[in-house]
Amino acid sequence: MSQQPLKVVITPHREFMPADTADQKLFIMLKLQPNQEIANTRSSTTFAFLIDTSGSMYEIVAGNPQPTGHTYQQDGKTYNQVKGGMTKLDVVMESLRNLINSGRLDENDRIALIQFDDKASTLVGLTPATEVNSLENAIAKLQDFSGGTCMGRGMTQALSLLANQTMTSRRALIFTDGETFDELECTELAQDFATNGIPITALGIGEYKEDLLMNLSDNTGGRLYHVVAGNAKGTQVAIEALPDILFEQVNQAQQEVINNLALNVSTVRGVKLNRVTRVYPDQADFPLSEQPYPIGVALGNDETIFILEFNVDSRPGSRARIAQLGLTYDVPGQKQRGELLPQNVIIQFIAGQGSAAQADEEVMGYVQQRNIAKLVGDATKVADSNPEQAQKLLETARRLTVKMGNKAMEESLNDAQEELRKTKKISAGTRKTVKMGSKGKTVKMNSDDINEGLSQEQIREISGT
Amino acid sequence: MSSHPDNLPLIIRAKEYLQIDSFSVEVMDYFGLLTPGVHYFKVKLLSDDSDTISPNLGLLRVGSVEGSLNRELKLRESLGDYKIVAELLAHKTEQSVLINPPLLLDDLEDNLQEQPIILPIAENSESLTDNSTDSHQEENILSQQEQESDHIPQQEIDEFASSIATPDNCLELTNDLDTEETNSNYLEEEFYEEKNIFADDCSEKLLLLTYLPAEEKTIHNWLKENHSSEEYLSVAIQICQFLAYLNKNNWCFINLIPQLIKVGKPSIFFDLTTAYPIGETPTCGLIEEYYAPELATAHEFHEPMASYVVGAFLYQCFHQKLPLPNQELEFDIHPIPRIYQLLKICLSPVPEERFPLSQLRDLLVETRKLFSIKKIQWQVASNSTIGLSTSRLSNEDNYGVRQQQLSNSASLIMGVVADGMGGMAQGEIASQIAVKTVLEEPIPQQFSAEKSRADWLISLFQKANESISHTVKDGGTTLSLVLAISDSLMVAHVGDSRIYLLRQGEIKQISEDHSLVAMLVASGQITPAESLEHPDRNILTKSLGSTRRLSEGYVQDLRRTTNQLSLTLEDNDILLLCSDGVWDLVNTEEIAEFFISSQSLQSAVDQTIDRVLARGASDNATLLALQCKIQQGS
Repeated sequence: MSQQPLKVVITPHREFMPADTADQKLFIMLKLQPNQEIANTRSSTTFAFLIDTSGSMYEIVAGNPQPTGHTYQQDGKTYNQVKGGMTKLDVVMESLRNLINSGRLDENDRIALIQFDDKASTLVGLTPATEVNSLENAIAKLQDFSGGTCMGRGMTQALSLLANQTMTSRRALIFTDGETFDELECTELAQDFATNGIPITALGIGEYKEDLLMNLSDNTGGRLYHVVAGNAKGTQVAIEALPDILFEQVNQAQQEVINNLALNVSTVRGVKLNRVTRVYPDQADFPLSEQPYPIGVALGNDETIFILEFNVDSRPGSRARIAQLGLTYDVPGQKQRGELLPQNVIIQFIAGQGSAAQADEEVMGYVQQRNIAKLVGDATKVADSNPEQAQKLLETARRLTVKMGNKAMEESLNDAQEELRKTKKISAGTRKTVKMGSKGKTVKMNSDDINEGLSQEQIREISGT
Repeated sequence: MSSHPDNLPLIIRAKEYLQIDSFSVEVMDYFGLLTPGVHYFKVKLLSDDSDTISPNLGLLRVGSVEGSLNRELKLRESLGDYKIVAELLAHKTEQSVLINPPLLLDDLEDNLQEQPIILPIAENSESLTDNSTDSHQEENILSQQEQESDHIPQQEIDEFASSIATPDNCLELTNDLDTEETNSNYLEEEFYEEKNIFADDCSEKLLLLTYLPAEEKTIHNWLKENHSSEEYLSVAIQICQFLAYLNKNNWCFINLIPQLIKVGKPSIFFDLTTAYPIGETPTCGLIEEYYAPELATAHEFHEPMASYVVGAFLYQCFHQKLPLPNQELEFDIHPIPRIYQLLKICLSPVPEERFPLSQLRDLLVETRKLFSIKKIQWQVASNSTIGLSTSRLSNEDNYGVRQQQLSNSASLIMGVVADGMGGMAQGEIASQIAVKTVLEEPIPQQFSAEKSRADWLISLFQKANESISHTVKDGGTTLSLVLAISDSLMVAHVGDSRIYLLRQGEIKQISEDHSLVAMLVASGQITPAESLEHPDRNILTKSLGSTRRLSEGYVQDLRRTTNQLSLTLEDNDILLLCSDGVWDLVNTEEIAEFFISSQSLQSAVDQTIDRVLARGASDNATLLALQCKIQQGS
């Protein structure tokens, strides 16, 4: 028997549930880890960089600017001309140059560059990272643009470039600093990205709308970064660290040895899938609009863990199959597709209180981390109308976070609480940080190593059948 | 000792007879595993002792020798004879026990498989190289079912085919219903052989026998009925008290089994298997109705878990459901002041925020006390007229109301009417001084005893009398006063103004008329009817300002009319205080009629005064009405 590319462990939070009890929840942990051979492969990468080139990107955020004494008008605002400083766009351009000159990319890594403001254009199509000259030329063109923000136009171009690329780790990286005029279109496009298995990594700085960016990254299983000019605290990222983020993204994409993960779930009557959340290594909620559900990627060097939340109606006492889970996925490093045939989820429903008390603490640990993110979300929602309530929710979230040992998130929550205490509200910037922080890296729960799980053969051997 | 031969296993299932020490029992019913690893049976106690015919029901619990029952034995030992734990009738260890045997053999086979469901990846390697992205759901299900039926051993299928549907059976069903399945998009139901939940391959068992609480007296049943907040709190306090006591002995109670707790004074616990030594760590995560959420991640046993249990129980009392069925961090709490705060804190997902048990108990006791206090709200209405007499152009009547919250639990209301008399505005001043004096006097600190309140009222009258005597040369006043501290009413009265109590449509005068005509009526010299037209009916026998010092008994209290110094007010009672200008023209029954038939208190007062005016209003007329609304608890 050949070794499967992806090891999968399915663990319900309870194997035994009370019978004849309405409105129960069942949490199923889906833990994925590529086998050693696959883990050692490296995926080719295909990146589309979407750069906001609207007027506000010319704001100086780094360096040591010196006023020249001249002023000029742009987009109805008056700016003091300075020299020696770096604009947001300068930082982005420099980061991109760093990346292509780093020597970490080879001919298997391809890059496209798209600018968007009122309009969008592809400055360079998918080009091997080794063709440094054409990429540099395209980067240089970025400063020829200015205007408003229509992100959807850029996303459309990125999607058409990436959609038909297969067996490679794809990524759309959006760098934006403002509100876009075509929010609805962006949300719909994100759905297409998700269906095509293309994660969106959103890098937001300044007055961007975090709900939109969160929606884009969440729905596509991507990641969201809150970039700040100046000191970065907790889960924030300093703009100077942008090159690192790009490297990190490329690294991660190379390690995404399994991608295009799609989940098929069928259930018996009375059981309904509510929610699919990736809970490790970071958090993302996936939309459940159409089967198979795209659920992103799996890294080669670590586990990727999902929590599936089901509603379970009252059932009589019995041991029964209540759902089947199946997966399909790409293994880009070996240019093949893989499949996990539908697996039965079997739960025993038991009459009598107290009998079904056992729960899997690892699964529950992830469920709890997922719940903390919701607390933080609720807190930011009520912060303006009821700062006291928000304060309490954040305090609960913080204390639970401390127990979990998530330091970066704890720090973000501390800052948010302090601000709330002092000003009775949460500023837009802090709201972004704390919301994104709660969606960021999670803490790995103690568990038996996936590799120590019993194989089918071992189970048969032990049970003597 | 044992009623069965030692080499044969002891069989425990319905209708079996067992001997446990001196107790013969007949097994009646199986309750299931109410605590992990412990089997619960309802038994009938057939006493060996032929002297007593014992119809008692017993609770027989069977579990592993080192398990929860053994822990309960240790706990019982450390508690000694504790009256709120049901007596242990007998316990013994049996070398070999079979529980509900028909299932047992298969359970043993299954014990080896006590692992989380690990579903290894499919072995069909062909699917990997198959690059077609269209994987049809139906095909997958079928292939999976084939796989399933493959690895169910034939032997097992044979054994269970008759009683339990197996995947084998289901496969046929699926084929039959294939079209329906594609239509409904639901998976076909498939059943599997049930697993033994708690692997316990040792047949040696510990048996514990206690009485079984009568079903109708259990907390389980009690919770199905509605009770007052006080009653709910009383039971919660008892539970908290017990859990606090265990906690003091370093045991943590993490779950309630309501079927095995008898409600009463005291409530009695029949099962202690949910108590664990503080500091120990559960072997796996635990989720159950009263379990604190941190148990789901196998947190070590600590006091806040017991506080959570009390909170969850209290929540259940006030919401008829448990707080966190699905491990969410938030839940709705009814906005009941104090209960809301207690629940919010006791059920906090952060254990450190929960009250320690001893503090919780004190808070619950305090809360119950507050709930037992009657909440009284007063409505006040008044009207006063100088009348129509050409010889009276000023109003010599005065009146007033004073309301004050004495503490969380006690409120005070005082209503007074004074009818002054004397020439040159002297009467007006006298009644004014009387009202002002009694309304402005500070409330003494020590005010709870009836006697001290009565003494205080007399002192008010003395003070008013002195003040009037000093200030007013030739005049005086009547003074009628009602004082209600919470629902306890007292009166103090001098003169011919009147105090009435109107209760459930019945009016009663609770003051005396200190007048000449009243004396004549009392001594039988004239009839009550004659008194109404008597020329001397304005002559008072008692008033303030007419004597230097009020003698003992000068001020009338309730003892003269009700034999008690105070009376207890009832919901909707109305107190009326009026000067003789009112009752001289509108008789008692008429007054009552206005208040019984009127929509509002004020309109009844106004109607009465209008009637006085309609009848000539030869005197000043003042009517003050106070109505109380009494609510139990908050």
